[in-house]
Amino acid sequence: MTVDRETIARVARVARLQLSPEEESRLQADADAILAYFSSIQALAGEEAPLAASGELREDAVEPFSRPDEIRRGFPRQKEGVALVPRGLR
Amino acid sequence: MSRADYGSLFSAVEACRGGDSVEERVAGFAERAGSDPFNAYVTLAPERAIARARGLDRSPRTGKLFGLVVSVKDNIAVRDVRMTCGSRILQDYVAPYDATVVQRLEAEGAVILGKTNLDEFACGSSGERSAFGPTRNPRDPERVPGGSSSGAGASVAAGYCDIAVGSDTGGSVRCPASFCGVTAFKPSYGLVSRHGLADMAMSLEGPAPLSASVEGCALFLDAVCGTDPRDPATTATPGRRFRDALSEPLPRLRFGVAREMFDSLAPEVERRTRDAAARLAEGALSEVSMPALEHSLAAYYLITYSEFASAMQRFDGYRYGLRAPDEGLSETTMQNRAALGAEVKRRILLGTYVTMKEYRGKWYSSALAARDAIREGFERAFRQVDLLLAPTMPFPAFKLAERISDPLAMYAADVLTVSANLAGVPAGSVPIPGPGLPVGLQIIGPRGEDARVLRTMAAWEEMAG
Repeated sequence: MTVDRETIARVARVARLQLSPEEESRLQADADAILAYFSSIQALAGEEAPLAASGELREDAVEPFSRPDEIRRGFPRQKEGVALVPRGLR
Repeated sequence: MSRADYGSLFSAVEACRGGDSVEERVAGFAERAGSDPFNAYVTLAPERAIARARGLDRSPRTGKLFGLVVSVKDNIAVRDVRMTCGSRILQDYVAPYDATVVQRLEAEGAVILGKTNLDEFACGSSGERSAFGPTRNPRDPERVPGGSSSGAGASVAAGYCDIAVGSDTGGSVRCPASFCGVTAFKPSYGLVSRHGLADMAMSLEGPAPLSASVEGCALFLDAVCGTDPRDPATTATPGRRFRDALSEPLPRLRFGVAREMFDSLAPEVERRTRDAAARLAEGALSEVSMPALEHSLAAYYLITYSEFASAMQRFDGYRYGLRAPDEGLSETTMQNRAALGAEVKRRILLGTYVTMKEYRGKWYSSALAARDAIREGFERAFRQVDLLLAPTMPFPAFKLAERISDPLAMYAADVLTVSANLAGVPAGSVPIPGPGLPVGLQIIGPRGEDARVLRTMAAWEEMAG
């Protein structure tokens, strides 16, 4: 077995996925089968080359957006034009 | 597509430029698409389309796509139109801006009729994984249309648009084209801006067209390709029009088939593809070997999982999208994500797993090495031949529900298309005429040789008649 149930539960917490026991069980079986099927790729394991930037980047500058209300319209919760996010500290 | 239909889109553009009513043309498409028994469209926007058509009728009547009707996959932003990505978490989201492709298509006189169905966040190969129900194949409604641009393929096959804009990460326009009997083209990576496309795996994908013939794909590219400051991967526009390239004399080309792309095919797919390759190549056909293709499915999925898990972090429900009751940051994010479908959760989970520090070297780094090997394999092959010919899909369209519960059986459908994305090379799919279900011929070229691939697709259309 490549991935056990305990590992799936741990990865799900890191990934912010809330899984029912049935989902956890099915995903464990799927992940195990998928990774077993893909395992021959490990023969190619080596040093990861550092990522090189490609293409031309535009200037990292603030651009005006003329219709902020259209963005505000999509806020699921808001107060006086500001998006409300869940409480981070109790 | 018969020879008589070739050039029909350009004729339609000419007629509209010459004074034919765009409004009447658009109204005809809107009426047909209004019935839509295939669930091709998630959102039809006929009022917006008619208003736009009226504006075009009052305009100076210019534009490369003047009067053509276009459908847009629902993971590409169209301002003031709902954009669901096929997901419950975005079921009420309205895009506040246009994707670059949408801006450029409309600037050339195209009319967008609506947003087409897709596998949730483009995660699927059959069109069955949309929160808005599966799309059906107009050629046989008991079968899948292919995915993830399922509604795009169906909208072309059913005659609900002239050109469909899809996106192709690992075959997502070529698969539905093959299954629905239409034409699709995945451009070289960077030829078309990704700005406004909800990414699934940003290093592999881009917007891509489907149409009844290659002419629609060429017209799409003429309107949209070129650099975009909002997508640093974009490359400069080639100096000539793709549509003009379609009628240029066909140079003598060396064609190749990779033996690894002819393993485990459905017998009718192998027979029809080999016959088509022999006809198209007219004796200039050789076999090449690309052993690294053995790793293409694993490399593709491992890279896709990783990039997708990262991309999905933005859908936290704080600024837009579905929002669960506030119970703290982590809890709320987890509950928002509970509304995602099974394949999306599977990919987020696996993408998180294969990039965790303790597993990354074993999985993600190996996938990157495999991608390099596959790219080198294509470079070597293209030193021997000018174009590669292959089946688009290993089998014809399968029945709804046949593969949905087995992820590996579903992934196997992508085995012949993902390598072009890993290598960033252009690849098109054109129908091979014949009895029974549609089968697509895939034509793959070196990076940047998009016009050569399109020209050869047009040559096949002429030959196949």
